Amino acid sequence: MRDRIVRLLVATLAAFLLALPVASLRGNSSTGFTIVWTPAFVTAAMVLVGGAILFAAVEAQRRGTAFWDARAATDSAVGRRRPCAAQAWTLGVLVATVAALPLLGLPGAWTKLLLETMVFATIAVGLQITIGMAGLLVLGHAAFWAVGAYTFGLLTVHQGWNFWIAFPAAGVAAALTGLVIGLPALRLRGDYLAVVTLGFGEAVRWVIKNEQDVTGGDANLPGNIVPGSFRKPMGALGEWLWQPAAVDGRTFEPGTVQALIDRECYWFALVLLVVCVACVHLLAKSRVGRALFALREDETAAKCMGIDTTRVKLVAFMASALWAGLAGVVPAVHRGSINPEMFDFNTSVLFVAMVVLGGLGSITGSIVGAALLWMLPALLANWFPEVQEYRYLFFGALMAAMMVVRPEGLFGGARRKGAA
Amino acid sequence: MTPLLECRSVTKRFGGLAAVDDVSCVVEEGSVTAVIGPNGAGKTTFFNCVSSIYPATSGEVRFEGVDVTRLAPHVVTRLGIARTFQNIRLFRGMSALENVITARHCRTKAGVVASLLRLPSQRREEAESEAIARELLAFVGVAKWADSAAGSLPYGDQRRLEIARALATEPSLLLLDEPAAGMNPRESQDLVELIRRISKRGLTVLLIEHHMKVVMGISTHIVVLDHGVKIADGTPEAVRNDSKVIEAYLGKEDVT
Ligand SMILES: Nc1ncnc2c1ncn2[C@@H]1O[C@H](COP(=O)(O)OP(=O)(O)OP(=O)(O)O)[C@@H](O)[C@H]1O
Ligand SMILES: [Mg+2]
Repeated sequence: MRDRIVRLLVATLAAFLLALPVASLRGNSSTGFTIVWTPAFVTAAMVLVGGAILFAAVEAQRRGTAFWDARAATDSAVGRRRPCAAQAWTLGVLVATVAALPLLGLPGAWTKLLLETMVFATIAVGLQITIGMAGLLVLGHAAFWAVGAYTFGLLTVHQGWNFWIAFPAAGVAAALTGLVIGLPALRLRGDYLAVVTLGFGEAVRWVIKNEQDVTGGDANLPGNIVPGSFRKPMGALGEWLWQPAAVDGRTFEPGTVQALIDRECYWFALVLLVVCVACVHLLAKSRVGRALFALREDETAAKCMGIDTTRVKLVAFMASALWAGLAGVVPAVHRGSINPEMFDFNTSVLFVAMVVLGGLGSITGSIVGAALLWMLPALLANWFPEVQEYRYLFFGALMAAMMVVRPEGLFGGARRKGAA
Repeated sequence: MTPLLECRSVTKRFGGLAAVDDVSCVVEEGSVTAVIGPNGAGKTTFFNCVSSIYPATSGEVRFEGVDVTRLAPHVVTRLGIARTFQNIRLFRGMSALENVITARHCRTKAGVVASLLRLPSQRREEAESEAIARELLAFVGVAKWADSAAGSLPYGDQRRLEIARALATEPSLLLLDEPAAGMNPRESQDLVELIRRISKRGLTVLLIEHHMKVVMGISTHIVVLDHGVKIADGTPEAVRNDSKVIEAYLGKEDVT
């Protein structure tokens, strides 16, 4: 107990010292330096408060009064604890509340922020399949997101496909890309796999940048080079089914269109996230899920227990890419255009950070990780504009603090390391 | 009748070293065959060739008359060869029960779609796997650990759990690599009992063992390796009295 407090204080001090030269020192050698204390204090305070919350959570769990039982989520491959009615109710109420928020007068900026968070959460939960369950470190996951977004974009802009056909097509395209990248990566593990997928991620982005005639390159899609729109009621189905903000045929007061788009995309993202969580949860507690966990634990033993590791790895790659691909549709429709820079290396790192921060193997963890890493910096930027430029510093400090306080992640199964 | 397992001139080289050198032997169905030999004799390497962790450099491994030399390990497991490891290789973070259920992989079918939809066939399969796994945990005597992380079990129980896991693949040939290693005399006595019961279930057992008490107690046939070469092969009595074995394995002087 005291040990943890000491570690927390050390982490806070470290965050402060780290923030001081990078965030608080202003000016350059010719003008001289001034020190602005706020960013350093804010960073340190965040580490302290965040760490204290974690600490309380861990302590509560240790004492058996688990205030948030996350390990039940996926880390146990076989459902020992059957989902009890109380848990199901809590979840239901939570989802219903989140769904009702836009109707209860949630400001537009918040709708947008929550929507983005849900998209990231979907991707992070999907990424759990490769990183958390199968133990395959994928460092180019933004590429699958890009493939989804661009497949959707190209099919609607160039081919005029209906949303409801282009949407699954985006998922399928991403999954197939996952298969293609999975094949050469089969023999690789750990760092090597990370490097290969990293290269792949960058390659995808550069292809999009360079194939201007088709993708619009840096000029957005749709944009100057490739005009069009994602938001037309396309095809016969479009008149019957929901088209995300298929506003052309309707008349609205100026200013309400964006609100409508925000809201529709928000609900769409929520449904996508819920379905994704359900699927990954069910997958984890199935024969295939156990095979993935076995792969993470010991590949040779897994083979000798009759598991076709090649096949299982490809399934992991494809399933993981599928969710990123489907999630790619949401920002495309919501923003109305996409750009290759949305899918850069930093984004891939962000995804991995969400998974690791939340804890390997925990679905709840991934969602919380996504929320922390996406919402906190945005809110911070809003509340303290001066810290805005130091978002990555914040990441670094948070991750460093995590390594000290709780290396297995917020919701990671402690028993995995502890058992060794 | 074709023997259950037949090795013909199996050789495995690591660079210049022939870890297994031209070993031919047969394992009869229903037997308990022991592979013995000094440290570094190539016993584990021989097992790895049989279970296809790596293919033999030359030679042939035939199981139930089928050439399995170059098949992938999971295919060999499906055909009916299961094994344990000298350095225990459990799925440490998973519970004991999960470990055993996981090994049902090649005897079950539920794919991704069936799992996501929780089809009746999938539920039935899951329930059956769990029942079989629990039965096996009880069979090897680690039922009380069902829900504990495999890595946290006492050493001897980890070895037993590995056996349960191997049995879950429904093998006809079970390879045990030093199952009594690190066990006290009491535990190894229990282990001998367990191997007898496994044999009674109709399985053929091939085991590597250093404890002579264990070997002489249960094996019906013994193969002796030294420096990768098979130097003797026969009944326990024949091997015990073989001068080459006494010299190479038991040491020149003391015969125990
Ligand atoms: N993967 C490998 N690469 C290179 N050499 C190896 C490899 N595996 C085993 N060897 C060598 O092959 C020889 C036989 O090793 P093996 O592990 O089969 O012996 P063993 O009979 O099982 O010994 P022990 O009783 O100590 O378990 C040893 O000299 C070992 O160093
Ligand atoms: Mg050995």
